[in-house]
Amino acid sequence: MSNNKIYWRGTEELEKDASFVKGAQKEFSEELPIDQFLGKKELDSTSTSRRDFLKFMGFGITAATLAACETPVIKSLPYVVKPNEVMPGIANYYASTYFDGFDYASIMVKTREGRPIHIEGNKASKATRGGVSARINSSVLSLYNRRREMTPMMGGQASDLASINADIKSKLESVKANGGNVRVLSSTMISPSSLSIINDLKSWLSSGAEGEEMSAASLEHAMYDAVSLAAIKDAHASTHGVAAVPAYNFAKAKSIVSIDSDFLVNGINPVGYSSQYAAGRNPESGMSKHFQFETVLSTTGSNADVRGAVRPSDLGAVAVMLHNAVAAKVGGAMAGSASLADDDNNVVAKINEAAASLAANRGKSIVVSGVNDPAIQSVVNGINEMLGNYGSTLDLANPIKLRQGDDKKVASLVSDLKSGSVDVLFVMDADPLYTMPSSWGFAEAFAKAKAQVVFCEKPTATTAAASHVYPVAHFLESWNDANPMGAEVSFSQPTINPIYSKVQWQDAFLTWTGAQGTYYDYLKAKWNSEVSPQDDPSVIFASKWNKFVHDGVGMMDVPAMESSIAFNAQAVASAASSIKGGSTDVEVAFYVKTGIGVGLNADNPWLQELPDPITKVVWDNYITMNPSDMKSEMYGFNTMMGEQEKANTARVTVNGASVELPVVAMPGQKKGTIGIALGYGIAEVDEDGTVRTIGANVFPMLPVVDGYIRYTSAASIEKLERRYNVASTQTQHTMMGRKILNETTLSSFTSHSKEHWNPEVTVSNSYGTEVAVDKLDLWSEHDINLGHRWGLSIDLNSCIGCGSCVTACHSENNVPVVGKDEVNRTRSMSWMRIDRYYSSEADPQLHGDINVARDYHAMEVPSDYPEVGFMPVMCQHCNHAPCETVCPVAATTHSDEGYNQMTYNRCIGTRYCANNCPYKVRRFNWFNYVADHKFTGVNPSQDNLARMVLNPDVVVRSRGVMEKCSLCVQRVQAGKLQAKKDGTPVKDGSVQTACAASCPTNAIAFGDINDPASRIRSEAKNDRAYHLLEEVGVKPNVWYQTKVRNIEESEASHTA
Amino acid sequence: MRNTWVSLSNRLMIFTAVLLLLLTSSPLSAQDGEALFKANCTACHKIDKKMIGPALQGAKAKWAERTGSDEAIISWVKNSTAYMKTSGDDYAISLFEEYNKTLMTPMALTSEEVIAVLDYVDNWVPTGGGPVVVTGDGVSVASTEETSDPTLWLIVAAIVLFIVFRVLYGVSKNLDRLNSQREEVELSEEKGMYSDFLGLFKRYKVVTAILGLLVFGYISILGWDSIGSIGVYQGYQPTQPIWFSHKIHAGQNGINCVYCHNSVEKGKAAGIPSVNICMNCHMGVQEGKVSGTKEIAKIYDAIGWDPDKNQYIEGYDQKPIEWVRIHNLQDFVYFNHSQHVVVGKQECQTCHGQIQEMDEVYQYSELTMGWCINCHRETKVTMKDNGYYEEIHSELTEKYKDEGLESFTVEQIGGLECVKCHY
Repeated sequence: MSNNKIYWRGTEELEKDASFVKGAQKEFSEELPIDQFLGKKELDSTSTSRRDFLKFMGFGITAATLAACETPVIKSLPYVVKPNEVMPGIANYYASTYFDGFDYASIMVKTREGRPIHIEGNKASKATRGGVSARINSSVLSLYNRRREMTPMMGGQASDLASINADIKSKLESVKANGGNVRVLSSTMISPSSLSIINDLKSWLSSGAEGEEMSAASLEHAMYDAVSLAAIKDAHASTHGVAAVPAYNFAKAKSIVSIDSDFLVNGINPVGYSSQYAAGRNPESGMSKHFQFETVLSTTGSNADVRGAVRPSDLGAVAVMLHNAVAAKVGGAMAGSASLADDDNNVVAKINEAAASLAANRGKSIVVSGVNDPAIQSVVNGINEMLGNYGSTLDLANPIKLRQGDDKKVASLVSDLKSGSVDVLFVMDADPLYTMPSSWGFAEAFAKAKAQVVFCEKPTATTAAASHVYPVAHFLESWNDANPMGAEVSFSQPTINPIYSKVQWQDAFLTWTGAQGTYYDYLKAKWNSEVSPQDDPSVIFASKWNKFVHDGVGMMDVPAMESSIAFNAQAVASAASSIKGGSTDVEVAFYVKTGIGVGLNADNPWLQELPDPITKVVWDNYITMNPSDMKSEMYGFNTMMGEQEKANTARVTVNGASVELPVVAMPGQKKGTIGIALGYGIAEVDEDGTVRTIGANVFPMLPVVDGYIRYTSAASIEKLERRYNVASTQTQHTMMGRKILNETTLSSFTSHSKEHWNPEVTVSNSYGTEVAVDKLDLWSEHDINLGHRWGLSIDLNSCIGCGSCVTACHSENNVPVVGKDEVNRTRSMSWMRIDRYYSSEADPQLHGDINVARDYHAMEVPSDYPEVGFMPVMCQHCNHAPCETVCPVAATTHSDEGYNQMTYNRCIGTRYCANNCPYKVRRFNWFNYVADHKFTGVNPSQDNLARMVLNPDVVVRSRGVMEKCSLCVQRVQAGKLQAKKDGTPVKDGSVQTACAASCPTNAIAFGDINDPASRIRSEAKNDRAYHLLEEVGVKPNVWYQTKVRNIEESEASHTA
Repeated sequence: MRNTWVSLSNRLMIFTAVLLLLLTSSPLSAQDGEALFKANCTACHKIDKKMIGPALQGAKAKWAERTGSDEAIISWVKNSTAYMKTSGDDYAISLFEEYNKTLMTPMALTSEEVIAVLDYVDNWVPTGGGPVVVTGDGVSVASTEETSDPTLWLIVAAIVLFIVFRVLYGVSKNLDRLNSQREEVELSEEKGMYSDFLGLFKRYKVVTAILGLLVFGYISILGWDSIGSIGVYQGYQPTQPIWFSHKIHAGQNGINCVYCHNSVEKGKAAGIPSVNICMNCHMGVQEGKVSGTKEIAKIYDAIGWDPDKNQYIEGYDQKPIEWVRIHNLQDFVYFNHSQHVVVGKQECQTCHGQIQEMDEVYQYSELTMGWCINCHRETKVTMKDNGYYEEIHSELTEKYKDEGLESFTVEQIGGLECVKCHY
């Protein structure tokens, strides 16, 4: 029976109202105002007739077309005198060192025609093991920052370096003659030569004027870290009698417990530690177990096997409970007692599990904490001591030199300044006016120094208040040395002729003390004499110095440490008893973001556009909150973000100071707490003419407790009316029960066969029989066994989600930065994205009884405390690529070497390929990003100076073409060419994509699958290997290795 | 019989000895002096000007006046270091110091040869002082180039034909008229030449249609070709800031291409030589026959060389030479010289033409994608003795065993794939 229902648009239609009937015959409900713009008098009075208009237009188009055909005369300017080492078109690599007081790595700088364009890790370094992080490989762009163009300032007036030098010299001489106080404030300084130059100034000052008694001149140097870990050093002073930060070895540890330490990306030596960590996470050969107790879901926490969300004020209790649980298991002494104020995440059980794991791995475990509280650190030392980890996984004899900041010394410097007795204050490698907690009153103290000399690369909050502003060279333009840990030294050398200031602060110090030569001479003399001149057969040059500079790293002679490391159990006991119980008030945790760090390079657009590993938000700072808190009646915040559902904003007040920020959902955040990232509120971005300060600065809110800066506080939060548009690159949070990020548990992995945890994907054929995916095909086979076949394998077990590969790809492939607004329109241009997935309570893989139809929406919702997985996704270079079939102009085709080729100059921009791509990895150039005014403020390649960072081997794509990952074909072609010239096959590992080379955890393997000896071949054949969306049958050349969590299979589903 | 042989050999010996005596003792002529001077001295000396060493004209007389004989100057020329040591001649030492303590290479010349050189130098007369008169050669070359354009000839021929046609047509018309007058037939109306034409078209419609189609086709082909040639600059020969002749350098002097374009075997760019490479030779070669002196001065101007003092000017603000690029590939094309020259073993001339015969370089090849691809289709890859190709060669031999191929073109190893040149 036919359906006779009739639908009306409204009652007017039903009743056939006269005006409705009349209106229904028209396309537009209102009269179009044609007369208004056609009936104008001016139009009639113009002398240009239609024919004239057509004539002019015809002529204009023809003339423009012809004019466009004219050849531009291209000039070619060779060198007048070509430096020997520069060969146009060939890259040079220089070993150098990155250290900004927070991040450290030995690096290799790739230069082309004398300009640095890319940074990779130096494999010779034992401290950083050839890795880099996103912040480090992005630093090459900061070299070309226009803000570095600074005028030297003296007394608020523009000056020049010569007069500043003379002025400071006279000030220092008067201190030397008449006595006085000179103070130096810097971030952690690990350069032995720089330290000795400061010492030289000290002894020069105290040597007094000639013929007089020793003067009363004093010089004190205080090191200050924006994110301080001074408590680690001080706790070791009290528990072990050595004021040092031990060197951790995560590769040796089978059990790792972290109490609020984000050691993989923001710890003491994140690059080295993430590499060690990944080395110990191989499920085939004894995988370590990682427990994390923290408040904000950190990148490290998201990699943990077992994660307990705790209040910041409960972290001390966690340490004490862990201590006592371990003590009970290994028979050690109890210390103090504590209990959690709030536990909704089985934390007590997890602490006991952690204790059991630690006790089972005595001498092969690590307990690490990132809380800047000496009591907690002492308890942690006590646990490590009980487990016998010192001398095994923790090395106090060869301590790490990073994070030497001393909060107490800074406090005494501040009080010196306040007393008005400081004649000259030198500040270098630090922006204390931006990063100091306001309770120290540094701003007023700073003003009381008689002269404030600030060395800086670019204007900062501190330079604005200084009496002397002394611009210095960028680290890529400087000489330096560094001693990151033990006996390892790493050297910095200039890789470009300085663009702006040519001097380093060390040069200035040498001038004032009347020393001969520059800092370069000083370094050279020091290192040539420092090392015993015994014949080293590897030294082919005249001096040790040359070898050091060439290799980038070397070993120095260090005096053996006195073996008086004695454990003081009493210190641990008293520290444990001083730990108070937590509170249940709203607490805020101030954390460091993986991209921005402490904000030193917050004006770097690559870092701002790098999505945060957890929230995937770009270009903004925000308040993080557990989504179930957000939805609670108390707040009623919207858990969405973006243009359609703008985020709520809130005001957070800490000790009277407040900031207003949007609220962003972060599953995994401890309920009842909020998190705010440090490092914002300093950089500005020009968004198409509107200048916006990104985020808000929360450094001043940091409380100082017992002389230590704490990164947590009680806070109050108040909902505001304003809604704010937050841009994020990922709005889906769960896998909806599909095998996207395939994961299993270690127990399942070791006790079951592949079919159980990485089953072959089958599809049903037209007869309804399940067959393997590769049995059904739409396409005919390519000849994939001939010659090379390049591929990638990504180990999801090693990937920590840090984003180093994303920025490396930006740098290598000239990927444009598009800014917040375009990211909001899902037009991010990154060739590589890292998908982050949360587990859901309604996951059919975990809970078999889930009815997908019924629970569909529940599946979209992440758990309150979810498990997290990261999955880097780039073009999968399918052998049967759906994009290739639909391109009407054959701009994307298949190569016999395994590439899915994208030919920009052929592309006409239909975007069919992107629509047909199951992985959504194709990026369309909606704009001419290098010229469009909308991107002037964000895209560095619009600036002639910043354009120097572009890779000349990769074309800058224009508007209207599709682009995507090319598997760094320019590097492969270069590697093949070298092999052809050498007459040898391409050696496995000699060609690396930028992402693979930058990965600190070695999670990405690139190579020739047809090479039987290659790493990629063995990984592709590995049981853990699978293809993303294998059921689609596109046969990718990218493999993923199943993620293995070191938990029991029965535990896999709980996480509640 | 035997005696005859002896006497013959004796005579031969005597003859040879006399001949040798005659040859060695014969005074060396001015031509020999000139040849010796050019072969041995010009790198450092000029006849009338200072160069790396002093001007040579009048040196013999000066030395003879001072020392009384030619012996001193002869031993000075043969080995100046030894002469300074043994004689302690102050003048010689002062000369040595005046010329930046540059030691003169010992000359393996006989005393007579030294005197011949000095005599040649003394008798040398400058040729007018001005630039050398341009030979007829250059002019004739230029004129043939101008008239060699066939279009001009075609236009001239077309005009001539048109005039002939017009005249013949007029004659024919007049004859018709005369004929009609004689036969007293009255012409209905006087038709012009053009209306006659139109009449023709109307009468032969099929022929007109075919002709029209042909013309249309021809114009379309012309249009298509001209569109295809947009951005193709074959024959592009811009005026360079320095009139540099590859013919003189690579052709006549036989300088290897790689001496100046020294990154051609290493990187993607062949490299335009920097001025310091020019100076390797032009520190000595300061003059040229045609316009060399003026052009060489431009190098000195760029790098800051003082040809009078024969030294670099200190603190000189060096200026790079702004060459005009002739071979311009688009930004989206990656081309690597070393791939083609070292691995592919291609001669420069394959793409750049007979460069050693070009005074001013022009773009010899089309540099279009079709041109690249044609070569990749036809050229066989040199796989022999290159370890890189061993495996692929055996795989390809297997793949093409039905066709029995043993050597393979660039195309067969994937040389036509987009991503080989576009990324």
